[in-house]
Amino acid sequence: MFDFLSNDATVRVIYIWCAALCTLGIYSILYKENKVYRFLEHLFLGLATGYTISQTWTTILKPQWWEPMTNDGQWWWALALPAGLLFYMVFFPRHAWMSRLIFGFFFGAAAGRTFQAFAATYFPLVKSAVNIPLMNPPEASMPGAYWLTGTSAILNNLLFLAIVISVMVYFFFSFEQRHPAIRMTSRFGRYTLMFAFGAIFGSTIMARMSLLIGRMFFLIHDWFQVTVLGMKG
Amino acid sequence: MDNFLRLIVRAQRIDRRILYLLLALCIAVPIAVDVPQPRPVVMPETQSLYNTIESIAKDPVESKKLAIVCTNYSGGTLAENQTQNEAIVRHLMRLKLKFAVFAFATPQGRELGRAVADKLAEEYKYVYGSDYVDLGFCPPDAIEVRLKAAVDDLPGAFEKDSAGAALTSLPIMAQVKTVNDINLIVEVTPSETLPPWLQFFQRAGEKPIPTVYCPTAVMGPEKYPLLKSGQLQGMMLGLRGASEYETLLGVDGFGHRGGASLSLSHLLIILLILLGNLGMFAERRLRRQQGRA
Amino acid sequence: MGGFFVPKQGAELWAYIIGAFVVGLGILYALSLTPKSLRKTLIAGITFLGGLFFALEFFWPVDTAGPMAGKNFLTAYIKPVSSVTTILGAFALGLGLYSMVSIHGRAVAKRRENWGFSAVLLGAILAMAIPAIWKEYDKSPQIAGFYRIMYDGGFNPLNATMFSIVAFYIVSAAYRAFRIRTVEAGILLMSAVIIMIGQVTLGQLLTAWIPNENFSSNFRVENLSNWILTRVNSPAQLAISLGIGVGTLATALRLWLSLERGAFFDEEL
Repeated sequence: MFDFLSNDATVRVIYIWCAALCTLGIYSILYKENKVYRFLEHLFLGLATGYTISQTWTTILKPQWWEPMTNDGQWWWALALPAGLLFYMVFFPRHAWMSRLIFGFFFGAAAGRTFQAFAATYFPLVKSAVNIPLMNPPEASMPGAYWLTGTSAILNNLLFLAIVISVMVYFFFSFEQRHPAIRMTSRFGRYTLMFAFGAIFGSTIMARMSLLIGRMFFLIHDWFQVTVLGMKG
Repeated sequence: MDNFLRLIVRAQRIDRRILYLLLALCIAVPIAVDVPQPRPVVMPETQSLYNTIESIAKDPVESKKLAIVCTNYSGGTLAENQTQNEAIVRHLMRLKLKFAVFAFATPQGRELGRAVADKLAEEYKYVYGSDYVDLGFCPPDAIEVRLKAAVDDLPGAFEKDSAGAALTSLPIMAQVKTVNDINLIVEVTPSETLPPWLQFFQRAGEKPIPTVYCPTAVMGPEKYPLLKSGQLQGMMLGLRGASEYETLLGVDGFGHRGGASLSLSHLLIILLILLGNLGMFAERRLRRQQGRA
Repeated sequence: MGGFFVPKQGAELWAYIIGAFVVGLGILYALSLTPKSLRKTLIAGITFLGGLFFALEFFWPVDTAGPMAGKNFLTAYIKPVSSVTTILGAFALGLGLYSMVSIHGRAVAKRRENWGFSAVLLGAILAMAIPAIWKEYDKSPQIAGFYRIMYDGGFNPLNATMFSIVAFYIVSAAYRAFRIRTVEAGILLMSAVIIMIGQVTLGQLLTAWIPNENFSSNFRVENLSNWILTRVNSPAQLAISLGIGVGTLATALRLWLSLERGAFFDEEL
């Protein structure tokens, strides 16, 4: 009865049609609120949850817990189940406090890892911020350099340092920023932050457009041109 | 003049669906018509990524080691991340470099990353187990510990591939014992998944492992300091980065084909922002005129 | 003790598994008897122990020579700790699942308004989870085909489309909300426009006539865009990042030592 499911070409046609209908159905919300969109929204939530359940079993619990315990004889993994049950104590008001034991363990573990994480991430960053040449920059001797390259590299490095300091001053809230020098530094920091946020804004637009292009490409090329019209891919 | 100002002000109340339609047209028309377009200018960070991989392939010692391609994306960002991933994997395969697919942010990432590797493997005659391997999925809350464990014993930390085969039984892993046997880390991601590599793996060996980053365009700007600090050796920023990389590889992938749509959509947004602001100034001016009258 | 913690086989294995599970339940029962006055101390102790391993493993000096060069006495335990955190973390999935299934299950059982959508959601969970797990045990092409339809025909395109729909809302917001009322907004807009133009081929064509060498190259839009990203955006992001780093370290210390205060931490247990 379900033999057609073993034919790759048939399965491909079915899933491309399903995907096209799902895509168009989701975009129908752009016109107005409707039941097709709500149906697909719930379908998506269900499929995503089902996928997460399956992957938790197939990629974590089965290979790392169940199989070592039942196939390799490592019986001690059975102790993990009662420990995992601690999460579910949250549903029993009398014993809800016990769930904090396991949450506490994860909080502690995350905190403990932070020390190494901090050292490995931020030490090179701090070094890069203070270790910038303000004399004889290497850019001046690179191929393609011209008479202004050295000066512009020094100016850029000075600007870099000024921005780092001024943005940090802007975020320094331990005392009121009354002194004019600090106020001006802070304002400069705020303006440069706006440059950075502008860069993020511009990039965000690019990212979102890219995703839409992806769906449009699917609808026009993969579905309409290749599957419906039978054009070559 | 007043009529023009009134028109601009009235245009502020345009139905949002007309704006949506304009955007859809800006994106759909270049795809449907397949507009010819110039190649993009390659940015320094993309070029640097390309050069990093090229120099690994040219080094007789490094080229024998294993690259890790970490595909931490899901279906939501396929357009950007899948295109980047395809470009990177294609480059690795062209240069005959061995690599491992791995993911820790979402299990779908591993599945998608593996699908790309399997698809291109047919084209480049790559054999699973000998030329590439799938290290499976590790949940995000355990990744730091897993990477720490992998520093001294990589096959021991990952144990099995995604199909359950012992890593030690695969030919590709014969020479891969510790962090020192890794030549490259590639992180393809739409989220904050780079830190574990930098914190627990990149500098844990005899020398730092070249690390390159392929984020969605949203994530890119905040990682530029890492290029300067030497923690990253290259970056492929979103779809435009992928398009630049395809230019370097000389292929016509999705990054290149989507370029015209991306250009037109950006142009539309800029025009709309300008028109919106023009409307605000027109409204102010009309109000001032009415006040005077 | 060494003989105790060795792999077992057959009936003995199952006896050990059941025994370990029962012992685990016994420990849970014993924990539930903890007097109220000791509960916070116990939680603080477990939190501290959870972080102690990682802190010690990082700070403890490593051997400089011999077979343990570059390692300390805790390095060997990283792998088991990795497995424990992975598995325990996976058990937490049921928390969210229970909440979702109970809400939508009740909606279906009581035929609440729009209960049909809840039924779709519950059905979709089964339609995805069952074939995805089944295909691990049964390699028949029908199961693989059905999974492919669910995954490539439903989950994947719905996921991608949901993300992409934001593009339409950005267009609307750009037109109606992005107003230059302050200097800051003006700078932000200028920076965003340069980035948007400089990153696409059509924008790059605008200044393609300017020679890309020496001083004139600074006026090409892609170089201007790159200058903003690397020379202005980069140090600003660096400063933000350093602030976040110090904040994270301080918060981590407060959590580890149970000094954190607030709704969750001050509740009566």
